[in-house]
Amino acid sequence: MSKQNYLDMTKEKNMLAGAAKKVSMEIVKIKHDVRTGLKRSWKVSVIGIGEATSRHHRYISRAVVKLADNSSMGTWRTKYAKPKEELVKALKKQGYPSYAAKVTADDLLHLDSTLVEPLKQWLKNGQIINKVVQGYSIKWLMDNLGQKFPSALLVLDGLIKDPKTTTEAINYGIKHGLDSLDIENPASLK
Amino acid sequence: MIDAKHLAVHRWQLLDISERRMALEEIENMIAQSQNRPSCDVCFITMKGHLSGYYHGGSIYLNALLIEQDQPKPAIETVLHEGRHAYQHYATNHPGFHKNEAEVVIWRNNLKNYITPEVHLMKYFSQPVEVDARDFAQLQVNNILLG
Repeated sequence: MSKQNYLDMTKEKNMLAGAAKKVSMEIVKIKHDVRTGLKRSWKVSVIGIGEATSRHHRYISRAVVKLADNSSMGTWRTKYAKPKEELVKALKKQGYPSYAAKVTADDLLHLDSTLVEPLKQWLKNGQIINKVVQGYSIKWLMDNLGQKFPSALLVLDGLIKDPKTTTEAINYGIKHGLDSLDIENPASLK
Repeated sequence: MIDAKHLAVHRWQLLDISERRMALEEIENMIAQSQNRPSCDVCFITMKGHLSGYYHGGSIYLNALLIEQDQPKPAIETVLHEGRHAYQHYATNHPGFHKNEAEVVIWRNNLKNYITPEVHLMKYFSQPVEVDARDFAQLQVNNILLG
């Protein structure tokens, strides 16, 4: 990649970060093809989670790029997959298997806005902010249901978005279909 | 021999711990026979309070605390639930065993990427093998308790 193209990419990333800060501003014009350097006019839709984050726009949940030349889409998707990749990396550090890390990262990127700050703190320094939703707290879920922090956060998210199903899941009790040995080693499946 | 087909609450309360274990083993044997699959060993082990049981390697593991409860439903529902996981595993390894082949494909894919409750409780609860096991257990437990 040429230096000029790298600078273009950086500039455009900052534009996307700005767009995420202002969720209403969903369309951004990009005028440089980062691969070829050719000038083009593209429409970029940024779907944020409604909150400005770091200068590295870690929490932009998703950037969907519609290009005149669809062949370039892969490049952009890879580029803006960074927030998810960082989450996946953090989850794997916590012992999440690959698939579970990806699925969990997807859901964490769509957390209710009231739960974003605890996630940010946890990612930043491992601090657990004990939020409470409908009488259930993060610490209670971790201590009494054996939940890892990201899962506890997603349970609270579920209590906000779908309290009926979430309460059912909490109350049902835990009955594994497999233990963790199977997950890490699918070949051990009977 | 415990009559596991009619295990009403008042009968459960009259059983001692070893008889309750036998009753749960009998339920697994009875269901396995009716499904034409090998029955699983039922093991009772100490687990944390929030865990009811799990299926692994051809055996069913139940939280020993369940059989101390006066209400039989949690223990019976768990052995049925885990027995259903045994059925799902058997079905994924024996083509033609379960009539709905599309469902078997879904189970197989799910089991390859099974999500445990501690990493994502909501996804765990909604994944196909868990929904199926839950539905099966809830239906069967009433048949057993109500006779």
